[in-house]
Amino acid sequence: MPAIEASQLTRVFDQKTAVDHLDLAVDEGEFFGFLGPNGAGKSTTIKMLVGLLRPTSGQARIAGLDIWQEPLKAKQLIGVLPEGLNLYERLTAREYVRFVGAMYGLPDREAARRTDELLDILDLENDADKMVVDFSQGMRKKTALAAAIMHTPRVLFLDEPFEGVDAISGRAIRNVLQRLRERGTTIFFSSHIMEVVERLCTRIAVITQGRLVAQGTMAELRALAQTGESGTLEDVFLRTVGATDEQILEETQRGLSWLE
Amino acid sequence: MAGIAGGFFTFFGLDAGKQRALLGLRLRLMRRQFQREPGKMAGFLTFLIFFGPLVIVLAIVSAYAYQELPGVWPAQVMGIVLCLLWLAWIILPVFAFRTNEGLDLARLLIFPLGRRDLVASALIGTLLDGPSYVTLPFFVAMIVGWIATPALLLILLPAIVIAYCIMMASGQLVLTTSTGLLRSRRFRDLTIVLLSLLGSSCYIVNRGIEAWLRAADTSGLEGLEPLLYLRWLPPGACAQAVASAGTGAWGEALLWLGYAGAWLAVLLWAWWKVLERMTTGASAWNLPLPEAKKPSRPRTRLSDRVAALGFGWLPAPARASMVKELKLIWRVPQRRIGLLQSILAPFVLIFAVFFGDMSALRRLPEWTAMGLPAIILFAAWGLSSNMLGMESRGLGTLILTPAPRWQIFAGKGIAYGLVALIPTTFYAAILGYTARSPLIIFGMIAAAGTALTVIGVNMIACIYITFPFDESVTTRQRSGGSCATGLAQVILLPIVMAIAGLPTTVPMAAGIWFNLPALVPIGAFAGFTYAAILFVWATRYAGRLLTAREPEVLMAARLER
Repeated sequence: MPAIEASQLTRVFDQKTAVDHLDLAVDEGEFFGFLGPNGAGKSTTIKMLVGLLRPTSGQARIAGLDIWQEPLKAKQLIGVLPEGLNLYERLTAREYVRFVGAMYGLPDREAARRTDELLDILDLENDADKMVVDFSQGMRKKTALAAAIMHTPRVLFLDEPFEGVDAISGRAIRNVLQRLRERGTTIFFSSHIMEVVERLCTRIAVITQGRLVAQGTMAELRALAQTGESGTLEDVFLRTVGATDEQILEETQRGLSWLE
Repeated sequence: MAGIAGGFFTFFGLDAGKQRALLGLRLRLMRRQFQREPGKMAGFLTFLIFFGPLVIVLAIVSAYAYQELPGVWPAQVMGIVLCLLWLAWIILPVFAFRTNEGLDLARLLIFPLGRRDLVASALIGTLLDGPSYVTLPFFVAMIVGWIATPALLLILLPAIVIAYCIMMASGQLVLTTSTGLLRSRRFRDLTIVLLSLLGSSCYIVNRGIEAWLRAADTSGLEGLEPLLYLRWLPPGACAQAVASAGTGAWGEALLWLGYAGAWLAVLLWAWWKVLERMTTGASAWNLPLPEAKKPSRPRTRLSDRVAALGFGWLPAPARASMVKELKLIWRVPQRRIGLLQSILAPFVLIFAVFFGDMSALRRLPEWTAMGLPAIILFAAWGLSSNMLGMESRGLGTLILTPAPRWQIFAGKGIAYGLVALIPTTFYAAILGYTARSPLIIFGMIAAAGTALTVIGVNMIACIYITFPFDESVTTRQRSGGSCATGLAQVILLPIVMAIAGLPTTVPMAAGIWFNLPALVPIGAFAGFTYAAILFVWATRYAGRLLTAREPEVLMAARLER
């Protein structure tokens, strides 16, 4: 049974189809990268998969549980780092993470222990008793990540986890994610940082204009995009979304006549 | 026309093209702000309707004073008016009231714009600010006041222009200087709370001023010449220039104008320097020094204390929800205001009603106990209104967790009930001490029942009537919602609350009214039992409703950025 399954998932906003009949299956323990240009429908897909946005049609399942039919059971299995972070601005980082732990039913003592360890490993210990409203973007992201993983979810959704995070924290996050994966957590994450996706992910999907245009391992994607053995994920990505280096170069040259 | 404007700009060494572009940007931003926030337009129109006539009447009165008052008094009044306006422009930014809604000059500093162009565009842009419209009628009044002596206009007109520029420059200087301070969340929070409390204690302030005026000695008022002192202040110098010209001392008038102009130059220079420092040396403001890693220490948590108080039996999510709500009621300044006002309101009410005859408190009738449900009604209503929208950005967190939704509502409801009891208990203690009636105890029971009913109704209502709440906006509470939600909030909900709440108070009230002492305690306990059942049912029902409508509630509470 796939850890994450989307079948014919569609979302229409007014006249615009943000996600168009998306079919997707992510197996248990996979590190799944979800790529796409800005406005491709990545965040909308994640929101539908985790129960934050009702799809116009189609189904989303977590470990076989329909997120819209059995929302609380499905949510017990997942951890989410959402696009807008959704933090309580007037709680401290420690209070926030503990609160989330309690909402997942963790006993107080256990929640406190995990919170302290998470904040320490994410280098937030010194700021743990400051309110989130006073945090920088990177600190907010780390706080949200701590909350997302503190109940050791079976499936973890991460929307742009490395955006706005410094290199040291980025390394710490990568290590945490690797450890989660080693213990069997399925990780589904979207990112614009191709190197990170290429290095971490076992399988990658590319979405553009709401449609899934490619998915597979790095080798499969290289073959599909015909980039050859040395092709990077960036090459693959550009090809699959229909933007080649030559095209981009030609368009910038044609469009900026005054630079001639 | 464009040529004249271009010539004007060139005369002052300004770049006409850049000034046009900056003014255009300012106009576009202003138009879009009104488009994106229709409430702002409504607020502006409300301001015009309510305060516009007041400002115009005051301006007319001042024009009348300039024309009709004898001797030195017209210029004296002008000095007072100018200094008061100047004071307002200085003080309002400190209290986070935006007197200038123009372009953020710090953002413009990256462009190759000259200092003179930036300063000029900021000053020209103030002509589009709402608060400027409050200032301008007073300037028109001055022109009208001296229109009969055209020669004086030669001094008056430049004096007005300089005074206006001084006000704008002073406001900008204060705003920019205090920006470092205003960036401090604690300062902003404190300002909001203090301003709110100041508003709610207006009655007391009013009584204080009244007493001071009664005691003041007014016999020396006729010989008073405030301009003798005010003329040393920048806008006072402008008034003094007019006063001097009025006596024929034209040279002296020019000197006073020069003095005011020098003040303006100093203010503009200081403003520019502070702005430069703010934007290029931001580290000097507010950035924390690197801290050494602190050893973690065991601390007593509020949740532990609450659990020890008797709520340990609650399921973990309900307890966490309750503790979180208690914290946020205190920490979110807009919500803290509600709490503090609800505590202060009974005292202000008692002070207002019984001022001068506090002994009357001892002669209160027994049915005063029925005031307690009324007190708690408003406290509980205010606290629990839009309870999901008040989660602000945190609502997403709440919805992502698997916590049973009824437990979330139960935790929130208990928190609101506890907080609503605070002002009611204060009031009950005062009544208990003064009226010394056992009915107060039953009144408290009925009040607790009323709180549970109101909170229960709001739990269900919040699934359908949710609107955004932005806790990060400190100058005003930005909230939205459609016309339908607004009408439901102010018409439908009160009716439902009244109907649902009747059983909590009517039996007890009937016991008092028909003089049936036995009915009072029975009625109070029966009413409370009914309210408790309603509360429990409402938590379960609201929980089911929320589970079914989470994305819609989230959408309704979403803040547009």
